[in-house]
Amino acid sequence: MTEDLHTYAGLYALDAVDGALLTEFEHHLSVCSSCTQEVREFRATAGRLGATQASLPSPALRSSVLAAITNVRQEAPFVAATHRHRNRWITPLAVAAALVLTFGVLRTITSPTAPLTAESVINAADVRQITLTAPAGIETKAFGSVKENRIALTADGMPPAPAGRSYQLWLLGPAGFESAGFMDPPPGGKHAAVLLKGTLSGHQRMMITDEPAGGSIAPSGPTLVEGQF
Amino acid sequence: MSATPLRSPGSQARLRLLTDSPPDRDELLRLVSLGDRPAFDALYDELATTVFGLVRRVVCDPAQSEEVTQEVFVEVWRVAHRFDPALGTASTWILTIAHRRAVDRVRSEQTQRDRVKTLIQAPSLPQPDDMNLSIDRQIVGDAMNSLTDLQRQSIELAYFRGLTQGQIAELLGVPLGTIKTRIRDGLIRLRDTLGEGS
Repeated sequence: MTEDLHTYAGLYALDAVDGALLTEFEHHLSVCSSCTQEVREFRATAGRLGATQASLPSPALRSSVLAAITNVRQEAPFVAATHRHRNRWITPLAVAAALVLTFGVLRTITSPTAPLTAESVINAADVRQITLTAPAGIETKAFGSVKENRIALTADGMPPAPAGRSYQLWLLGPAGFESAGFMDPPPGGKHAAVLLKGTLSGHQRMMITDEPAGGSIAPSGPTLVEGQF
Repeated sequence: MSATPLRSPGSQARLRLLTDSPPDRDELLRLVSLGDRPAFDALYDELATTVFGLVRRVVCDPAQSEEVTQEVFVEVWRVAHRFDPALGTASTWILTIAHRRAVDRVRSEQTQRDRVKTLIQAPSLPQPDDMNLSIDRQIVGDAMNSLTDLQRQSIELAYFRGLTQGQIAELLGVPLGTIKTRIRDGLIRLRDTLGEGS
């Protein structure tokens, strides 16, 4: 499968990978320096194509943009991330990982849309909580923050996925269900928390399905958990 | 070029594209990360035409394209500190953000099936008059023409139409495995022909 994933670098650099493959390839990128390098080079090549498309925006856009930034706070640098992960704009996951380490310190100075953890959504000042429909013995809750525009999910009493299967998260958007990552509960039904990929806005429903290991492009397996925001 | 180039408000945006010395844009972006608003204004003037051109090519609708262009520049302002000149030029970094935003917009606006059917070329756009751009279009066009039909079509559908891997495979009637290798082979050829600079 690793050999196969290497060949997605071109599609990924052109933003053409979606669904579960996107999750899988981004995970692969975080461990494969040759693919990271190839994506970087392909993006530069794509930029050459993009730069041939020059077209004049209306003069009003300029003043609109310059006015807009006066209301936008700049994201604070993640000092730990700078030294630990040089390729941070290719692998935002690395930033999220570093943010876990520095979260306590930086939480108050990061901007609303900085890379987040599940914990930061759960602890957001404006968090709203809903209990999801789940099988007996399992308690799952979704936490939505309008300010962060993200959703986190917790599960208690949920066993790990059976061998060869994955619990995949889905958000229902205008184009149907979109993969929102995976839930990987620890053994013994211990507490698990995960930050969903995708925004709170534009999504009304979520669910967890039982899918083949590595996930599916669209939900195909039995629904375990579902709920409405 | 100084870090605060001349602007020409009310007339055409400045357009200095690929032959510009990249370090200037990189330096502007570094200054932007420090909160330097004049540097941001200059960076906008440097790249607004390019960003809007790419976004418009993908999104088509002019009003939405301007919205997305604004989102892109606000994002550049917000996360400028993440730019690392060791990993690529400021232009590439900003165009990567622009493409991602444009693609997000078309995918949230339409169902995938609608998008596959939408194959109308973007209407002709007001074009900046710039010799460097004309020369670069010729170079990039020649490089694209050196690809096989399937390589070129796949790359154009992905990059300029914002289609996903599955949509491209469906539209061209070719297996996904073929699409992904053709796109990769095509990009390798373009990379080796054009070099990395942007």
